[in-house]
Amino acid sequence: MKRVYCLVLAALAIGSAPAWAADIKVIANSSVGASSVSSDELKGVFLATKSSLSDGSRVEPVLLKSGATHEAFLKDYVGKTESALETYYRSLVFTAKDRCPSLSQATPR
Amino acid sequence: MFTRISTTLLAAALAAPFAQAQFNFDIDGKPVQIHSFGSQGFMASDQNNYLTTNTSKGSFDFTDIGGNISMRLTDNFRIGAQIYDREIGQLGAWHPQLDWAVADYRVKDWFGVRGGVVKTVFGLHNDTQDVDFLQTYALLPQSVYPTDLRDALIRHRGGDVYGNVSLGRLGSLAYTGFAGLRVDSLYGGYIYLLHGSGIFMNSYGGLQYGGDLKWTTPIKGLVLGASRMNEDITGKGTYDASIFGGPKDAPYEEHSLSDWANQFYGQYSIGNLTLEAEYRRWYRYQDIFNGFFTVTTDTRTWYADTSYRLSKRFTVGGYYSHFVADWGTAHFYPGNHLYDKVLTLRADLKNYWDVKVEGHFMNGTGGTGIPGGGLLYPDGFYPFNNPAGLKPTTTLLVVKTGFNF
Repeated sequence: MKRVYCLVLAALAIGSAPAWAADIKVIANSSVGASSVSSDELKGVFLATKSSLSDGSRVEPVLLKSGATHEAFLKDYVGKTESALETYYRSLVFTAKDRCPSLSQATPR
Repeated sequence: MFTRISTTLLAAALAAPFAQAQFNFDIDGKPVQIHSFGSQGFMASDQNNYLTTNTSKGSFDFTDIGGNISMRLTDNFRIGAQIYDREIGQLGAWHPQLDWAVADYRVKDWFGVRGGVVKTVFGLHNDTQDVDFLQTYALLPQSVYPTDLRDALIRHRGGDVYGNVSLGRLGSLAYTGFAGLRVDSLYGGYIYLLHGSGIFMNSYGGLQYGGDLKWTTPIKGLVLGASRMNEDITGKGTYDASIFGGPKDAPYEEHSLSDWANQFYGQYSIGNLTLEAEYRRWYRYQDIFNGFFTVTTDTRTWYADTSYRLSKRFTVGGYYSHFVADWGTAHFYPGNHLYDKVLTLRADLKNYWDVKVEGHFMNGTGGTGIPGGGLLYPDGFYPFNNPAGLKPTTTLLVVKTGFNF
C-alpha cells in the first residue's frame, strides 16, 4: 500500500500553482509520482474530498499548526479561513464523514 | 439545576487538556480518535412557554451531550459510533440514542458506501444540527431545522452511497443517496403533541429514502444544493376512547399515504462573511385514527441568514426564519405560522469553549392550529405547556455555552 503525506511549508511555488502565491510550497513524500498538482486537486485533498492524485498516489493532508504561511495557504488554496476550516473538519468528525487531519510540528522557514 | 450547570462547566474545564492534546491513539497500529461535545443553555421568554419548557419563568432545561469514537482499519475503511443524549423539557428526556454507528468504505473519491445507523445528509445543516459548537446560533432556524422534530430526518438505519465528482471548470458535485428505516424516539415533539389529543405512540417510523446534491460552483465561496426525501411512515399506539364509550387504551394507528420533502439551499462565504438561505417543503398526506380520517399538511418554510466573524473570538449573526404549517390554510392565523427574527453574538472563549447570547422575536405559534381546526404540526409551541392559552407573539432570550474536544 502506497501512502504519502502532503505538508505545507514556506518556500517556492510548484507545478501549476498560481504565480501570486509564490511563497507557498507543498511538500510530499518522495514516492509520489506526480510532478505537479493543480489547485483544485490541492483543495480537494485538504477538504478531504480527494484522497489520491492524478498518478494514483494516495495522499493525506498534514497541516501546519498556525502562522502566516498556514493562513495564506488556506486562503489562497483551500478557500477557507482557519476557523472555517476547523469547523469544517469537526463537522466531518461529528457526522462520521472523516477524521481530523494531522498537524505538523514543523515551522515555516 | 445548578448542579447540572456546574457539571457542564466542570466537563468543559476537564476537556481543556484533551482539547489541547488531541485525543488520538493507536490500537494495533490502527489510528483511533475520540471526540465529545456538550452544551448547557438557559431560555427565558416574555409570554409563551417554548420547546416544552417553562421558559416564561426562565429555564435551564436545555442540555445535551455526545461522544464518539472512530477507527481507521485501512486507508479506505473506517468504523465508528456516537452516543447522543439531551434534555429540552420533555424532548429527549435523558434517553440516550445511538446517534450513528457506521462502517464506511470509500472505493474511490467519486464512489463510497457507508452503512449502519447513518446521519442523513440533507441540506446545509441537517446532519450537524445537534453539534452546537459548529453553529453560529444557539438555535438553528426552527422553520427548516425544528429541534423538536429532529427525529424525523436526523438519521436512518440503512446505508448511503456517496462521492465527489470533479466537473472541471464547473467546480465539483458531491452526491449522497440514502435508504433505510426511520425510527423515531418516543421523546420527540410530534409524539408529545399527540399526547394532548390522548394518543400515546409505542412506535413511529418506516422506510425513508432520498438524496442530496451539493454543487461547489466555480464562483469562489458559492455552494448550491438540493435534497429530496420520500418516506412511508406508520405510527402505532393507543388512544383514550373513553369519551366515545370505549376503553382508555384503544388501539391507534396512523400511516402515510404520501410523504415527501424537498429542500433547496445556497451558501456564499467571502472572508469572514457568510450568507445562507434554505427552503424546505414537507408534504404529508396520511390516514389517522385507524383510517377514519385523512389529513394533509403542506408545510413550507425558509430562512435567510448572515453571519460575520468580527475577530478570532467574536462572531455576530442574524436570520429571518419563515414557517407556515399548512400552506393551504390562511397564513395569518398565529397557529399556522411562525416568523422569527434572530440576533446572535457568539464568543469563542477558547477553541473548545464557546458562549452564545441570542434574541428571538417571534410572531405566531407554529402549527398549533386554527379556530375550529385541529393541531397541525409542532414548531416549538405546545398548547398543554401553555394552559392559559397561547399569545400571538413571543420574545425569547437564549444563553448557551458549549464545549468540545
